[in-house]
Amino acid sequence: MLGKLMKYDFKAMFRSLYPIYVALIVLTLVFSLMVKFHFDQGLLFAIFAFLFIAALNGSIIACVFFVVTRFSHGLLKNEGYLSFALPVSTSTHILAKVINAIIWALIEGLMLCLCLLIMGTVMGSIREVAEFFREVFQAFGLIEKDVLLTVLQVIVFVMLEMIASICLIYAAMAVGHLFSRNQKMIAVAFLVVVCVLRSFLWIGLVNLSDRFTAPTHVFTDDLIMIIPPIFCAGLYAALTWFILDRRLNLE
Amino acid sequence: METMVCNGLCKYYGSIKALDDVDLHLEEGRIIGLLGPNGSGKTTLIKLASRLLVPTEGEVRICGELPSPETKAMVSYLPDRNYLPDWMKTKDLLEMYQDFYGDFDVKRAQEMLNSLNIDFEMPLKKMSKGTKEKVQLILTMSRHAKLYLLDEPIAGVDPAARDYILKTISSNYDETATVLISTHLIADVESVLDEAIFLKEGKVVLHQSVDELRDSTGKSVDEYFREVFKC
Repeated sequence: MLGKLMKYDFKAMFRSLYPIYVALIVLTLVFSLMVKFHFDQGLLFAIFAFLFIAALNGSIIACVFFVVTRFSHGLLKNEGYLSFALPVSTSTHILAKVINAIIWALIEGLMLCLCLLIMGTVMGSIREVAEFFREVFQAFGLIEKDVLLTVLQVIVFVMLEMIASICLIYAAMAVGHLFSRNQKMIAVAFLVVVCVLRSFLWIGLVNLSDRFTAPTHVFTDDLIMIIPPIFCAGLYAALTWFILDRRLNLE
Repeated sequence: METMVCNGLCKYYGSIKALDDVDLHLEEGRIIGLLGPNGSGKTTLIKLASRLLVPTEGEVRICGELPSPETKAMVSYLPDRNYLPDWMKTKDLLEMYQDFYGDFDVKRAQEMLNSLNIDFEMPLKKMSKGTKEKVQLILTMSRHAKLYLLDEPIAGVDPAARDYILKTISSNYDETATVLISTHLIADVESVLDEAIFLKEGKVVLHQSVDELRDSTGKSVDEYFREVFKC
């Protein structure tokens, strides 16, 4: 059932986002060609430059917006009647939404990389871009193993933070759903309060790390870095599950 | 066999009692009217049976089991609103129901949609309100479910559409299934009902076969309802 839920969530997101991505690629191409052929003066260039930057930022905002609305419309509004009548557990619904959000965040990242690649290819030359990537991969091959490991740890940490952030947004919407009025305001307030509390938690953990790592090596920096996002993601997901499973009240 | 059983079922919204100590035993093969004025607890009872709400006290059982993903596979639920994604086409909805419900009879759905000349390529958002409601009902009634929960299926549609909806309900449920229809438009549904449940301020004030009710009171269900719920 998880795969089926993800399939329909993906379809719903795709139909909303693909026009934005097509526009982004077209604008990237036009902007890059204008620069390459020195049409980089005047009002027309200014308009295209503005549109290009707007599309870049807009695609990121749209991705976040549609991830949020897929959750709220799919589970907390009229479509929730369909979703919660399906023979699927609440935890599967939440997991499908989280995985879908991760997939679209990765697609967004790939689209931004693609734009950079198009710009590099059009403005420079394909050979230069290929050379650049060859040098990057060579550098990875040559650098010390420890540095590569650190890079991988950063990627893992960023992914975990992303999952925790997605779960936090879902938990905030679920908390807002507990109230009959000002649901969005309450969700935003919850988000702000949790972010502030997390900042204090981070400061505390950094101090803890400073106190323990050097003399004893019981805790390592890396381990401490990875625990909070895992813990927080679990906590937010559990809160979301409790509200959707035990306190759901669709109107 | 009992399809749905409620034992001491209560649901509070804060201090408001939506359902108060409801005991019900619904047998298979019956079409049952859940009748009551607005705010009497009809939708709350249906939501509890669909596991869209959790009881405050008591329990509801579907084919002997507490509501869960397993019971949802046995229950075909029609909410009292447009609940389908309006960007989806009819053919997409058929595919989705096939994906999620093993008991979905796609041929039956296609036949009913064809009989109404509903375009399979048309998205829901381009359909009239009445057509949307018919599509929703067709999807709900095309399942071979044990229990059909229909919340206000005829509210807000014209009389011709009402006739179609009632005909669809009475001719498409399996004989081993139970159909629970919530409505306050009693005169329209009376002809298809086997039993009637009157809900008043969250309490069951009557649960009787329609024939017995007519014999004992000398009135139609609609007339008796008006008497019981007179303002």
